[in-house]
Amino acid sequence: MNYRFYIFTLLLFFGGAINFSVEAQGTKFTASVSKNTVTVDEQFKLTFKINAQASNFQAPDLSDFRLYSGPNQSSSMQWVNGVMSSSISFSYVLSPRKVGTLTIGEAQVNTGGKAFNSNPITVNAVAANSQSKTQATQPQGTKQNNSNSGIQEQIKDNVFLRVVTNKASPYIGEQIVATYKLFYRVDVIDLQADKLPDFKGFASEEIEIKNNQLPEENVNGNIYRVAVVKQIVLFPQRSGKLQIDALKLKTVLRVRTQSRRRSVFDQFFGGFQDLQYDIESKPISINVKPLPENGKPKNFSGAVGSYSYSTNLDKDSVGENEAINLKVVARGTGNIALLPEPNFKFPVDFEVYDPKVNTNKTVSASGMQGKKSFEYLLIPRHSGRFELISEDFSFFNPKQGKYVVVPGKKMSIQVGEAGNSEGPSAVNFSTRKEAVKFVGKDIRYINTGDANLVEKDDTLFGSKAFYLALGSPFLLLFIVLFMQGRMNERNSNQGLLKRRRAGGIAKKHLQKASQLQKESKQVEFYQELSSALFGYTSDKLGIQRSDLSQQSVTEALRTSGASEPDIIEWRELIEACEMARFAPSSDQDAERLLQRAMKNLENLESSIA
Amino acid sequence: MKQILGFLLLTLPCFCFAEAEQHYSDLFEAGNVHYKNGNYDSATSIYQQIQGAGYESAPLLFNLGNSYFKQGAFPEAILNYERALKRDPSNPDIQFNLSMANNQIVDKIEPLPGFFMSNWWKAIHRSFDLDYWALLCIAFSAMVALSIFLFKTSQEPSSKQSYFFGGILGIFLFVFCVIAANSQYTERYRNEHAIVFDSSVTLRSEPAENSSELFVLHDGTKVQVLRTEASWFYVAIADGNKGWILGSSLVKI
Repeated sequence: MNYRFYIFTLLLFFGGAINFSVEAQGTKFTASVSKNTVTVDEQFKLTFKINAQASNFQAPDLSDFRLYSGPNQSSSMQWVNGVMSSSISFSYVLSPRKVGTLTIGEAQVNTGGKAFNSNPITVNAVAANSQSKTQATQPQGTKQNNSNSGIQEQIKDNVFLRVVTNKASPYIGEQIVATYKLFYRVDVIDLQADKLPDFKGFASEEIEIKNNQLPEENVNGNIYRVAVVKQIVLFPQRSGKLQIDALKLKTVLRVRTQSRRRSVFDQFFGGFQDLQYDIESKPISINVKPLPENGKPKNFSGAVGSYSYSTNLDKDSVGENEAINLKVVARGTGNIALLPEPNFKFPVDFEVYDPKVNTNKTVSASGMQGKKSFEYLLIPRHSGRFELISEDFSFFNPKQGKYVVVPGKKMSIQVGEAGNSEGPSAVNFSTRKEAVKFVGKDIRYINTGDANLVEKDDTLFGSKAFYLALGSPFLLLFIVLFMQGRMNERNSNQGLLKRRRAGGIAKKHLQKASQLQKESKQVEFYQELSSALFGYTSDKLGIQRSDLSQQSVTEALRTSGASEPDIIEWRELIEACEMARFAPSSDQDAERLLQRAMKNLENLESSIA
Repeated sequence: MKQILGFLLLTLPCFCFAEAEQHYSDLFEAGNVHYKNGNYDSATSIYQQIQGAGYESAPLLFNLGNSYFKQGAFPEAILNYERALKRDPSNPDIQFNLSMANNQIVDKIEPLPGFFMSNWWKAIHRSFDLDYWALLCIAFSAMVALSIFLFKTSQEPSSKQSYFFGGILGIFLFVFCVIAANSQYTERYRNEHAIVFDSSVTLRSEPAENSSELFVLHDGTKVQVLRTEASWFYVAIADGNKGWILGSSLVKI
């Protein structure tokens, strides 16, 4: 596989080498000039070209010419269908030093060991006559110069170029026609206009000239023939003084020679000479008036001229997603190519495509006129009744000197359901939901709520009030904790007192109970006994009266280290008191209960400490 | 209770000014009516009158910006929107109108993408007004104080524990709020921004008239003032380019 590829490349390579060897066949060495007839001091190009590799180029004698640049060598190489061709050219830029037929001799090159000679070539040098060229001919001698300037004088009065406009002071945007006219009284053999000036401040359009010969005109008592060289429609773009630039024209004139040394031939043939002569028109300035301010319509878009509008819809009742064509045609004179697009208010539910614009204009000596059409394709996406409003269009009519408003038009379109027309539409089959369309863009409305005015740079953060507010909870905390601490201290002191007195109080209660028992007041006795038991424990253990219950006292007794039998005894005593209150028992029972309570309290007193 | 106390302490100075404030609030309403009727220049002058009396608020600056916008004075509109945003950084209306105004000016500057953490932090600390952050600070400090109190006084170990954690959480939230408020405070008062008011101004490499020209800014562009030297300001634009500009071409936000 691979070796085949190598062989193929090798073959290709050798093929190329073979081609190289047959290169030097049909070698040509030619001389050529860019112009055969030149005026003195006009530059032209002389080129020697050989279609092979060459060396040792020997230039011919060029002493009759002024050398501007050269020899400039350039070479090129080309491959066409595998055949290589190369060429080398040597070029000069020259101008003749004298009038007459000048011969350029043979040049010589060596190629492949052989010498080649180029063909000799002749150049016809004629006298230069335009003003600008006289300076360059100065070294040639004053005699010829004198005779030339004589001819110049003669020509000057007989040929001139003028630009005329059909209006001296137009409005901005009003079209004017500028005509470059050639006035002449000598034979004009050839004329060639330079590039048109760029007409600064104007929009321009060149008119195609159909008939360039105008009737003869009388200028300063002399009759001139008149020819139109160029005609341009200009639209001034700004007000003030604007200049219509000069146009340059190259002509060849046939003039009678005034040489004193007339040869026989001259006398016989009348002594004519062909002269190259450059003419330049004088620039003129025109005064452009601004458009009047009064009566300017609001939506004026700058159109100047005279137009008529027609708007039409191809149908006013369609189904959903069916196309409607809206065509607006403007006809008139003025810069119709730049006529702005008409403004429409299209319903938002319509899909509107960019209009197809078609301009059809003719530019003639009477100005620019024509028609411009705008074709809109509208596709209604939803059914309903829609209104299509074309806005007023206004333009300035310079002939009447006032603004003209073409009133807008309201067109209504009935869009039916898709089903009514031809079959189901594929476009809106899936869903009818769509995002809210934004018709315009504007800033959001002002805040009309509370002003919330505050003094400038009055911020809470970092202010004294802020630190105060920040610190106050802690200050409050400190105060409250301090107060509470004091209170606790006092409370605990009270508790200590209570604890100390607990035994005493209990004793009092018990004494009172025994008294009651002696007086046989059973109910009061039990109540006193119960309060002695409860009171002692609550004072001793620091239990609030509100929290006082069998349960809480038992718990507290346990934590304070009372022995279990004592606790059970205490509970039994309390229960007995409770029971006895509702079911009174004998005096003996009471007496025993009192003894038990005293014993219990003694035990508790010693164990709790 | 403490919160209410703190709030009262704060609002106390406001009550003293209530009467004058009422007068300017009425003026504000009058300005809004002018705006509604399309008299943007009279609305502007009324808003300016309120501003001149030393009062300010986000709605006032926003409305002033709007009336400048409607008159086509976009640099002034941008200036006032930026000032309003400093007072109320999370307001979507101000942000929207500011972006609308920024679309109207000449300079389109691609801002440097910030570090994502700092962008997050900006979004967080701008989500509340500075005063709200300050109130939150106070509220959390009160929460800490309350937690300490309850921790001290409560007897039950389980509730003691929850008060302890409540206190720790309060400290964290408090520190967070202080940092957020401080960030916004720095942005508002320390970080100096300005709007270019000259229609075209050349930024130079040195604070001198004859130093080499770096780039040109147009009116309405926001710049950050880095330092000043005599009447020259060293500023940075959003894309990070820096240069010297005469202070007379700028108005500080």
